[in-house]
Amino acid sequence: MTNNNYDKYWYFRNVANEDSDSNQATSIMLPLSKLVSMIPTSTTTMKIYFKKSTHGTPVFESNITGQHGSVELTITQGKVKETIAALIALLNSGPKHNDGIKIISDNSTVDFDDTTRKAVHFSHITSCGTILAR
Amino acid sequence: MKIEKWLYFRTEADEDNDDGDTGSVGNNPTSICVPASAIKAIGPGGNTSVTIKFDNLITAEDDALGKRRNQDGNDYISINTTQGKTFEVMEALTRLIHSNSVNDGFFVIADDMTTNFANEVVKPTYFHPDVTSCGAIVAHEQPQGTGIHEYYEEILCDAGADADGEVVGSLSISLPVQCILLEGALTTLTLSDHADSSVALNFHNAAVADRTAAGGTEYIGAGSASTVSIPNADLNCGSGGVQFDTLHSGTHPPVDRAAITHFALKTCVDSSGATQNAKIGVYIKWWGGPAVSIANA
Repeated sequence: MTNNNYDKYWYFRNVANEDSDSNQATSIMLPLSKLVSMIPTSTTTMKIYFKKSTHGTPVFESNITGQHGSVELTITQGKVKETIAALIALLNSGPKHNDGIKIISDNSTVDFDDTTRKAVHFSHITSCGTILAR
Repeated sequence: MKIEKWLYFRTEADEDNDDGDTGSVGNNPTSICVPASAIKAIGPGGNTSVTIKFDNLITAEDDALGKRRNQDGNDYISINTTQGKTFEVMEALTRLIHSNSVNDGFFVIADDMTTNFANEVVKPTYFHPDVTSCGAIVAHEQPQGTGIHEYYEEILCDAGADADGEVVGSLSISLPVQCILLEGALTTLTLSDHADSSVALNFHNAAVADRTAAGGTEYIGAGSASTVSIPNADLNCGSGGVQFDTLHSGTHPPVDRAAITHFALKTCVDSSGATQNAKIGVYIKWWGGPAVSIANA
């Protein structure tokens, strides 16, 4: 992995119950140096594509080979461009030497001990969808 | 971390239609944001447009050297310009990318939107006065070029097929006309949770829905022409089968396809007793044009 010491990471999780958070299809931490593109897929969804940064076992793989990995996010209609702009500002923001981790979209509302909490979403993101990691 | 400039493009006038699929053709996002570092080249696309070529934005990079023509393989974005100003636009774009501007790194290069989600009229946004509109945004979902192609996909078979010959899953691509189908293979990645499950692969000139009778010709399986699959059998994937058992098209001669080609896995037994059917890895190799994502066809 390149630039490991200084790279920032974004976190995504698409399950509500932490008990179900069991593989790369349910949550993933992505280094920003692997980002490839951001492309809307509808008026309320967008995919962030990233170069494969992990080598999961086959059960976690996308069923379609040959494409970059992706995370699909649901966004308030009319706010896709603003969300993209906010993500770009975030990835370029300082300080340089913080802990490097930012939660972009976390659907989890039930902790392992069954306590509840609010889901965490950046900008106008409302939900984390399918994660395709290879 | 080094500041990375990201470039934003939108070719849709009404934000309500910024749905990621111009004209529903699949490979033309209505808008996109890409890192400037992904630019391969910038050149005129005519005397009134500039074409920006990028590293692949959806598919992984694939070296086509010695395999196929690749002239159409690059993802690109066109921006329309005032006639005679293509150089000025390219120069300005390069300067923008290399500038030391201290902003957040987000740059709108061309945004055609004139009606926002609230139905308010807004002005389109262009980074340079000689940019007149955003042209085509092209981001391919399948490797391009004419020549040798390979494709692999994993299919979780439908557990509801209750008759021999019914489709339990299909590849997410089709092949264009005038392809030569060269070879293929099937592998049992996970077994069904029921004893009754076995599959074969058909090719056909149309898509067939799951749980309906497969059309076309059996390519890999006991029923292939001249029974040449290796081994000459269907792929057993029931709970008593062997995980990672593999079936190959064997000595099946290359198939000249004058029609569009779809691929479907069909069950060779009533497999409806399963709660979760088998997962099958499907491989195909062909000579010809690039695959088309089914959703885009």
